Amino acid sequence: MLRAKAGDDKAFGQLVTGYQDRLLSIFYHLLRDQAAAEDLVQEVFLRIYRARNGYQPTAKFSTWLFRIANNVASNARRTIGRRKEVPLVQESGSVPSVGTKKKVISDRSSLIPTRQLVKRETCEIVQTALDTLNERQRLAVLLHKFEGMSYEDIGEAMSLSTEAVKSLLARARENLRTQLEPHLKS
Amino acid sequence: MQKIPRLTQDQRSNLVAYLDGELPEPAVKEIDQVLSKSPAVRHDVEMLARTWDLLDQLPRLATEEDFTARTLSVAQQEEAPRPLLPSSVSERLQSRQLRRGGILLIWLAVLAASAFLGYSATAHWVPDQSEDLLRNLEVVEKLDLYRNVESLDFLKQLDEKIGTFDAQPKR
Repeated sequence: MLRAKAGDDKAFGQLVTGYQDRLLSIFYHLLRDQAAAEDLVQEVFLRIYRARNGYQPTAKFSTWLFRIANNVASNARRTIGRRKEVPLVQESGSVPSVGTKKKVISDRSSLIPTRQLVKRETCEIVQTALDTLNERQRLAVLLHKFEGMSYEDIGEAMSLSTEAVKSLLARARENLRTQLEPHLKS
Repeated sequence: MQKIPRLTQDQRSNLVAYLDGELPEPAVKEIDQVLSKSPAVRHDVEMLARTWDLLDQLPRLATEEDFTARTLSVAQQEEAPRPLLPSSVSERLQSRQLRRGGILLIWLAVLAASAFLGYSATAHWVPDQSEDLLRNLEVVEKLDLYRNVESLDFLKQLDEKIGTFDAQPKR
């Protein structure tokens, strides 16, 4: 980021490459709209590019990036809430369609059709459970699960105290357990 | 028979933090102790952990290959200095501004000419009181003296006897 701040656009490109897919996954699970998620990812990087001259390496770059992402997501939620054009959660609750140009990263085992079907079903169940969480719980879960961020870093990114993050994640995980426990038994 | 320990309210709310390795050591030890003796608590923790593991099933998405290049291009375009308006619009605006400027100048000239004409006409046609005063300056200067003269007859009599101030007295 310091190189990008010094005017090195190649370094900025490397930052985009390094974080674009991670951000896309988080935004997708927040909005459940892939095109909108991709727009938000771009918006995050545009904001970073505009703000690069004032960047001070006081915190981890990733924490700063996810704080911007949190702001962008909040704005998007407000806009969507006002317009009521795009539902926050797609009714189908399915993963992105195969026909789109974007690819879902898959492991080798999912190439076997039956296992792929089971995995797809499980995935839909988990997504539905995730959708029952409120926006803040969902973001905290995603940052913790996908990014492996500590409670402190999540707090930095979401402007919350560590104690508040602990409580947020505890409630979120308890909700997820309630939703998913029947499926775990089966 | 040994009593099975139960989690306190605080310990229960700390279970997730316990699994995430976010608890301080003393709190971890307390929960470890309860876990070692309570199958129910072990089940709860197991369920929480398995639920968490299920989230691994969520798809991770990838952007299109040219996403980085597109983003960088948009960022650079945003930063590049650019005219606020397209040139045709800018030219139209410029000519409109020139026209407006010209009209304003004409109006100012008309206003100045009107003011000059008005002043000249006023100076020419309206009698100037100061001119009267200048013409009658001699009288004005001796006005206090003249006020003592009560009537024209008195003045005529005076004139006949001693003459006016300017004229030589009659003999």
